[in-house]
This record gives sequence, C-alpha cells and structure tokens, in this order.
Amino acid sequence: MTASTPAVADVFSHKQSSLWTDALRRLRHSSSAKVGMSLVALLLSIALLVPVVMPYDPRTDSDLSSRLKPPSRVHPFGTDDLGRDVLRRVLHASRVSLRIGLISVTIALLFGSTLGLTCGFLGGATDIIAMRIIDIMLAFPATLLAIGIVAARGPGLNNAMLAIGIVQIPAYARLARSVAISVREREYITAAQCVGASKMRQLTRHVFPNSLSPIIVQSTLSIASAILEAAALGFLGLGAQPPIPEWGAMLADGYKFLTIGAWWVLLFPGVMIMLTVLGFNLLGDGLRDALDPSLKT
Amino acid sequence: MKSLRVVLSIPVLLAIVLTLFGCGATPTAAPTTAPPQAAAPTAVPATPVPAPMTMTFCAGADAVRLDPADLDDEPSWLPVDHIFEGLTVVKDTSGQPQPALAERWEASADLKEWTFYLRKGVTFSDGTPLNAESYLWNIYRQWDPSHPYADASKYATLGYYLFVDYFALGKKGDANAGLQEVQQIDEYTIKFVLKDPNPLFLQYTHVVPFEAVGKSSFETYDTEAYQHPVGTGPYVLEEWIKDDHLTLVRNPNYWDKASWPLDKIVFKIIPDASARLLAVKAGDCQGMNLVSPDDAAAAAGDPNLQITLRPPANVGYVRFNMSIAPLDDLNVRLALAHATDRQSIVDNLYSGLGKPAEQWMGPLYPGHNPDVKGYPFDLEKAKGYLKAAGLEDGFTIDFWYMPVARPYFPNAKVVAEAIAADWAKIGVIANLQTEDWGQYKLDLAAGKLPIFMFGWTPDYIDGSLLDVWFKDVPLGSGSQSQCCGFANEEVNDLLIQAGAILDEDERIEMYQRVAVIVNEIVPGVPIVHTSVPNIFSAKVQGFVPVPLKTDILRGVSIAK
Amino acid sequence: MTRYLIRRLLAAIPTLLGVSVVVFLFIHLIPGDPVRAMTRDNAPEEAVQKIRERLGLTRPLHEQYMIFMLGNDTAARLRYEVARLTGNPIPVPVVTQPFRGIARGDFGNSLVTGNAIVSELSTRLPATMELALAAVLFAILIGVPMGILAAIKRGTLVDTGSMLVALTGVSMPIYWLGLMGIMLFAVTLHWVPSGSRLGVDIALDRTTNFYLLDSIISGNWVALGDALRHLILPALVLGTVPMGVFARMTRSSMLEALNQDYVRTARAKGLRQSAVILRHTLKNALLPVVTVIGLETGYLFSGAVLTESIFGWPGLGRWLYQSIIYRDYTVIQGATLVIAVIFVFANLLVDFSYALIDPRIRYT
Repeated sequence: MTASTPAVADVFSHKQSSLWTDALRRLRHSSSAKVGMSLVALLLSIALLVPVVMPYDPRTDSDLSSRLKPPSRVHPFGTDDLGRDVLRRVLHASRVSLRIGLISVTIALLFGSTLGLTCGFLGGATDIIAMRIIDIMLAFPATLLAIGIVAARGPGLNNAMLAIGIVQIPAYARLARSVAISVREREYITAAQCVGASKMRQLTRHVFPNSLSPIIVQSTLSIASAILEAAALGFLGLGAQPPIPEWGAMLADGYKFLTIGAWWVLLFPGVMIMLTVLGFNLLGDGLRDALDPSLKT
Repeated sequence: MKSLRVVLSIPVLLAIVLTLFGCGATPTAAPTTAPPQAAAPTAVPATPVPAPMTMTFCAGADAVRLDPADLDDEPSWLPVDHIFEGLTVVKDTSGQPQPALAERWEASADLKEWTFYLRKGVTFSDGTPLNAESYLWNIYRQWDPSHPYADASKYATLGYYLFVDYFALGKKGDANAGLQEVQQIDEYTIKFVLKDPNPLFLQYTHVVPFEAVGKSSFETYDTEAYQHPVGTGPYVLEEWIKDDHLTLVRNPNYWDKASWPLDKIVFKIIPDASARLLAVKAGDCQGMNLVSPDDAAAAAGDPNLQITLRPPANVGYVRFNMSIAPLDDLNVRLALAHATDRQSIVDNLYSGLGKPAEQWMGPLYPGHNPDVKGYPFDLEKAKGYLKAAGLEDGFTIDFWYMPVARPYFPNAKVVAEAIAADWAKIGVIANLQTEDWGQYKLDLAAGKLPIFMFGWTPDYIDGSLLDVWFKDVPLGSGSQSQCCGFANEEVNDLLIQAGAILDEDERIEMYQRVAVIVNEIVPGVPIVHTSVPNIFSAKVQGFVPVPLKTDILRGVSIAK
Repeated sequence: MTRYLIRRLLAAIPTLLGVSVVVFLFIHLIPGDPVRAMTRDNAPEEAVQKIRERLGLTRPLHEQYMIFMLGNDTAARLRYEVARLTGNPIPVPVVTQPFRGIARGDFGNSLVTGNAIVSELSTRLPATMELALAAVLFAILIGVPMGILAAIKRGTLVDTGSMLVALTGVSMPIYWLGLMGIMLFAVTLHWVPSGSRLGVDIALDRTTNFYLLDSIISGNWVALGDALRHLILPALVLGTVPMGVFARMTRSSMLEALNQDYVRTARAKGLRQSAVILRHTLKNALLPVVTVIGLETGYLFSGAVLTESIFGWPGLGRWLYQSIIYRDYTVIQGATLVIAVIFVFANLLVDFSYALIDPRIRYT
C-alpha cells in the first residue's frame, strides 16, 4: 500500500515514466478497456477507411423516388427522406462527428482542467479571479454562448467545434477545481510539502494524477454531448452545412418520421452515437483504473 | 406510405426499444395481425358535463398580439379572426369576400369612392353598439395622426400600423396617401374616398386592419389592450396562458350564432409537429395545423382521422439575384430552371399535396396565364444553356434556404437539398447556407444573397400579387421588387396600369402579359403551390378550408 | 461558517456585474443592425429610428449600459447634471417612455410581443423550474443509488447492467424518448396526457405559477393530481440524461473513495459494510457528484428546448429559442440574465454544500 505515500516514492526517486508504464500495463489487462479500445479503434478505422472503401458524394446520392424505404438488401439501413442510403451516410458521418467530438473535447479538456487544477490547488487570488471569470462564463446557457461565439466568428464546422470546446471549458474547470480542492487536503500532499516538493512538482506529480478520474469520466461523457451540441448548432444553420452527413443533424432531421413509422432514419445514427459514447466510456473506465495510483501494486 | 398501425403496434415498438438497448432483436416484417387501432381518441372528454361543445385545436405557435391593427404573424391571425370581424369576410374556397359587418356596398364608377352599409343590431362584446362611429374608431386610429391612440411607436410593436404598409393607404392630410377621406354618411353608412381608382379596395376590407375594434379595452388597458381584445366576432377571449393555451368562449351578443356551432374553442400550443399529431391521436386535440406532408399522407389512411386541404393559393420559389454573376446571364438562369425537377419534389417531398408551380401566380388567381408552362425538367436542355453561357463545366454558388417552416416550405432544408442534387447533375454546385430569420430577410432585401428561397401566402386572391416581386416601388411587406436586379420597365408599366384599371378583363390580360415576360426573364424558379393540410379527428364536421392565411372554425361541430 | 457564507455572497457581486456586462454586450457582438433585423422588412426609417431611440441605441456605449442598468430616466438626469456642472446647459430631459433599468427590476418589454418581460418570466420561470426540479429529483433518486450499487458490486452483472442503462440514458436522443413516451403512454395506454402543464378544464388559482405549489396552497387536489399527471412524463424524459450522468459520476467517485485509507481502516476495525459505505465512503464520494448535480440543475433551468417543444411546456427554453430565431433581443437579454443569475446562485449553493460535506475545506 503505497498509494497515500508517493512521497516515499520520491525519496526512492522513481523514474518519471513509471506511472504511465504501469498504466499502460494495467490498461492491457482490463477487459472493459479492451472492449472500449476496440470500439474506439473500430470507429476510428471506419472514419479513416470509409472514403477509400465506400466512396460517397452526398451531393449526388439523393433519389426522391426511393425515399424513406425500410432496410433492404440494396439499402441495409434503409433510405432517408431524400432517398439517400442511410448506411453510407452514417458511416461517412463518423468522420465529421468524431472530429467534432474529439477536437472540441480536447480544447475543453486542455484549457479547462489545467485552469481548474491550478486554481483549485493554488487557491488565493488566482483562484478567486479565475473562478469569477469561469462563473460568468458558466452562467450562460451553453447553446446560447456557442451561438454567440459562432455568430461573432462566422458559421462553419471549425468555428462550431471551437465554440463547443470553449463552451465546455467552465464545466471542466469547475470539476477539476473541486477535485483539486479535495485532493490538496490529502495526507500525501501534506507529506510532499513536508519533504519540500515544489508547488509545480506537487501539482504535476500528485494533484494531477490523483484528480484524473472524474475528469476522464466527464470527458468521455461530454464527447456525446459535443456531438449533440453540434447538431443543435447545425439546426440553426451554424454547424455542418447540408448535405454533409453528421450524426446529430441526422437525428434532428430524422425524428420527424417516427410518426409515420420510419424508425431507421433515427435508429442508426442514434446507435452510432451510442456506440461512440460506449466506446469512449469503457476506454475512460479502463484509463481511470489504470491511471489511479492508489491501485498501484 | 407506411401505415400508422405499424409504428403504433406494440411489438415493433418493443423491438425498437430492445434494439436500442443492445439486445440485438431486429424488427423484421410488420406484424401480420396488427392490433385494432389502439389510437382511438378518447371517447370520454375531460369534463363530464356534456352540454357545451368544445373543440381543442392544437396550434404550432402562440398568438403574439391580439390587435388587428398591429399584427404580422400567422399564429395571431388564428384567434384574431375568431374575435374580430371585418366589413367583409372570406368564408369559402373561392377566396372572394362576402358580407360581414357590411351588409352591402357600392363603388363609384371610377372606383375611387367606396360606400359600405353596416349591418344593424351588431354589438361589441362589451355591449357597445356597432355603428359608423364605433366602426371607424379603429380606422381613424391607424389613419388619422390626431387620434388619441395614433402613436404607433407606443401602441404597436411593429413601430407603425399595418394600414400604412399593407395597402399604402397612408395618413390623413398627406396628399399622396392612398386613402384621402373617410366619411360618416349616416349612423350606418360610411364612405372611403381614395386618391386613385382602386379595383382592389373591396379585397382589403376582409383583411385584419379593417376589423372592428372596441375602444373600451384601450381606455382601460392602454398599451396592454392587445391582451384584452374587444371585438364584434363570434367569440371572446376567456383565458390566455402564454405558450400554453388560449381559450375562446361564445360572444353572447353575436349576431349570427347559428353559423358557429362550437361553444368553446381552445387553441392549445404544441410547437413540435410530431407531438401535435400524437396529441390529436391521443384525443387531447380534435384538430391541428402546420401538418408535415408525410404525416398528412399517413393520416389519410387512419380511420380516426381526416385531412382537409386548402386550395393551393400560395407559392414557394427560388429567386435569383440577377445582378450577381453568373446569374446575370439569362442562359445560366434558364439552365438552373430547367435542371429543377419540380414534379418530383412535389410528388415526394409534399406527398403530392400541391402542384408544381409553372409561374409565380397559381391557377386560382385572375391573371394566371394558362399558356405559360414554366421550365420543364430537361437536363440535356439545361446543359445546352450552360454551354451557351460558356460554363459547361458548371460553377459553384451560394444557395440560401429558409431557417423557418412555412406552409409553402414546411421543410425548406430538404427542398434545398433536393434542388442542389438536381443541379449537381449539370455540374452546378450549390453551397447550402442559412442564418437566423431576421438576418435572412435583411440580407435578401439588401441583395446579398445570390440565390434564396422564399414564398408567399396571400391576403387576398388577386393578380396584383405580382407587384410584390416585380413592381418597381417598395410596397407591401416582404416586397422583393428591388432586391434582385429585376428592373423591367415594361413589366413595371403594366403592373402600374393594371392596378388602376376598371375593366376586369383588361386587368387580367395585363397580368397575363406580365406572366409571359417574367417567364422569359427567369428571375427565379417558382417551385410549388401547396395544398395546405389540416388534420382533424374523424368526428369533426363542417370545416371549410379557406385559401388564405389561417384556419377558420366557422360551421365546425363535433359529432358525439 | 457564517463568515464564509457572507464572503462568498459578496464575491458573487462582481460575477453578477460581469454577467450584466456580457449580457449587455451580447447584442453588440452579433453582426448587423438589431433593430433592422427585428422590424418588418420595409419598416420606414423613421419608425426604425424611433425604436432605436426608445431602446437608447443611439447613445454612446457607456451610456447605453447605464440605461440598461439604471433606466433611461436616471441616464437622462445624469446627462443633464453633467452638462450643468461643466457649464454646457442642456434642456431638462423629458422621458416619454420610462424604462427603469434592470437593477431596478425592469427588464423592459419584448420587441416582438410587447409583453413586459418580467410578467412573462413570472410564468415561464416557474414552469421551467418545476419541470427541471422534478427531472433532477428523478435523476438523483435513480441515478445515485444505481451508481452506488454499481460501485459496491463492481465487476458483477449488476455493475455492467446499471452502467449500460446509464450509458443508454446519456446517449438517448430526447425527441426519440419523448415521442416514444407519448406514443406509448398517451396515445396507446391513455395513462397520461400528451402535453401541456394542466388540463384546459381544470381551474386553478395561479399565484406562484408553480402549479404543484399553487394547488397545494389552495387545497385544490383535483388540480394537484392533474398537474402531476402532466408533469411525470416530461420529467422522466428530461431526467434521463442527467440520470445517466449522475449514475456514472457516483460510481466513479464511490470507487475512488472505496480505495481510500480510511475506508480500509474502517473495514479493518470490523465495521459493517453498510456503515462503511454510509458513514465513510458516501460522504467523501459526494463532492464531485454534488458538483455535477449543481451544474446539471443549472443547465436544466436554462430550459430544455426540445422537451418543452414536444410536451407543449410553456417554459423558458422555448421562449429563449424563439427570441433567438426572431432576434427579440430584449427578451434574449432578460432571459439570459435571469438564467445567469440562477446559475450564479446554483454555484454558490454548490460551494456551500462543499463546506457542509467536507469541513476540511479551507475557506480561503
């Protein structure tokens, strides 16, 4: 049981990389992580390979005479309200949707958690000022804020991703801060202070790894909300422009047809979003366990 | 069209849910024995009291203001036309005005002086009798700057009264005003004196600005009078919970109760179209508006529902800005027009509920030209035109679609995608774009949008509709006469003449000539005249779809 | 503790001021002329100019902010005083249409409907809050126990099952769930109404506009039952996503807490499992969960556009959405401001609850 005394580890001057080597090793042994990783890998390879294997031009695919046809041999996932093949669109949409999810969450994660951890750990004036700014940002409904950002920068996919990322920063910052506050009260931090570790070292070596798990859980979950947020922007004409396929927009367009029984237009993009969320979540769980120093053996 | 039974039958529903939960059950064929309609509307109404006949009508949006002089949106029209009445009224599918508050009328030979004889024995819902003076209160309010309630920047959210705008009737004392004089001949006779001969004036009198408004509400509530309407119409406002419901009950003083069997009307607001349909199926509403064409087609097969169709009087179109290259080239415009498969759009995206538009004004209008056939879908021809323009490899251009749903474009985005797909076949790449509605209207009026979608639902059925697009003066709301580089002197002269001419046949001929010239210039592609659908419970009887802006529940009753 | 509370409350003041500046600037960040965008296409220029003047848009920016905060009468008065002091006498200003400013509780009127924004807020805010609170309550009652259970039974079928449910909840498209719910429970089974807050035939004194509260105050049990019947389906639908979030968050922090030394110590002391979980683990695991609950509740208060549209719920989200589409910018400002203020106080509550849960937190 060395978890609560990493300071001891310091004394024995552990190699800088050991945490990550350990983590990787444990990641390979976790079954949920394996499932998650394979799902994410599958999605990524779909996104990378689909243009080669199944080239698709969304502009010329529509065929109004065969619109809203249920799944068949020709169209395994049926067709949408413009007679386009749902399978192709769902697969090609993975490129756009994954990009939105990953990039915007990365932006939020990088800026948000760094800010939150630093503030939570250091406290004092930095904390107060930064948190007031975060509070102001957090006080606005996310979609509205995103609309404001996109309106100021002009519509388009890149600005939509940026906006969604920025909008999520405060949530990460708050969360990271609350975790950091609770972590900094732990004995091992006191211990680290006692042995004279610098603030920076305390932050990177102790606070950061011990704060990771809630943040990872949050980020895996927010990939889905980023995809859906992008759909909301797209709905207002501020995200991916038609006819480019995108899961969120496909959902928003497809739900109208539930009342006439065309469930496939909604189901398949919905399932894809779910698989994505599932994949990232399981991966997140695996990472959580792997990165948790308290499980070190 | 898939039957509604399929989706409602529980096995499929369960299968879908199961699939969603990842249990791998795949919904296959529709069950052979669908259970008998589970969707029968509730036989038992919410109240056990059987006496009053109540109808709940699910509307897609709430009224904004209940003031006929300050009203700019179709959702407000719905309750307003049940609370207020004009001099005349449109009550059948012809769209032509018939007597209402005015029993009869006459026009001078030069069509400059219009005399209306008011019906006797009509009272406002507050008990005030209707006579020339009380009727004209609302007219003076909008026209006479010295009227105590004339300050539009205070009493109207639009900043000005409709009167000025709608019919260019202007203000009292202005030598250019369309309406020069208003006279009270006797207690029940009024006369309007116009600046120029106007064959259309009678059409104006059934539109909202000419409805009778009781002044007591303004004296009591001042700037909030729009929430407490007093009219002479068949119903009065009982309760208005914003964005939830608006309840109307019978006006006890109404003069023609027999024409309105319903004792109470509740307009319930459900913004989502699918949820609205489900509310009708659940029996929570007996009727709904703003129906998606697919839902309408599906409802046609449901024995518990009925659909009604308005005559196709509106138009949805794609307009070109002719001052932006390459749209300044006639060949390019012709190519795009011939590459647009309107028939397929109407058949598929409108479930056939409408007609492909062959010209800007549909067949219902006097002035529609049966010889103008528009631009038949012909990709070879379109490619030929592109070649003639020196653009055989195609080009890329921004194409703006509307961010809001309107009866002529219930889903503008999908129509835009269909058109873009057609154009892609001749190598023209349309970049689909949209923005918020306020900015959209501004940008198109400022000539910033090269190609955009728009449409029109009429206030009255008349050839002067063409003025909106092609007469070279700023007039009428949403006027696009100056947005798009269309300046044609011949058309302009014809429209000005036709607006003042007395002989109906000559007028029609002029509008028909305009149709021919416009068709040659190709200022845009008229896409569709839709038959706007409503869905009602099968027990509802007597609804008459009027080809104008709103639904009127005149004559509607509900069978037990 | 009291000192901490007071200090946090005082610290909220600059936040609120910052919020007001952002809300005020919002309209200026969006390109285009707001007045032109919201009037009819061919409104005469003088009418547009009159509206600009009414809104104070013709004045310099800092004065506009003063009008926004303190009202046009105050601003005019100040302009007059400044002119008098600097020796440039200007006529005593006449304010024809007084606007008292948001600091004095006047949010102005909607540019589209003309309704006083405060009076609209008084019906829409309770509608949204009632729905949001019901949804969060549902989400907590299901999500948190589910997360605890999953953590305790880690790696078992219970764990996998509940996390699958949570994941499904998180990625569930609301319109799908809402329409399916209406189809099943309203159309087919007739258990609940298809939408709206209250049956149109039910009479109710609307004092607070929280219908549940109103019907209890007036002892109107028919209305209470009807309001509950109307509330349950939208609340379940709206609560599904937060339920998933709470469950996952709870599980994760529970696992974290279960690995702490004090838990081991407690176990080593021979405490019963239930006591370990309740007395030691849960309390420590709650911190991130409370944060997430606070954030999620605040988010739901900003209105759930989709749920409100599908269920015909006359709430804040729909209102804000419509005002964005139609650029009703006084409403955008008013509604955003109120939501923002609620958020600020929600965050305060979260902070206070930290202090309550974890007394070790230093109040620096």
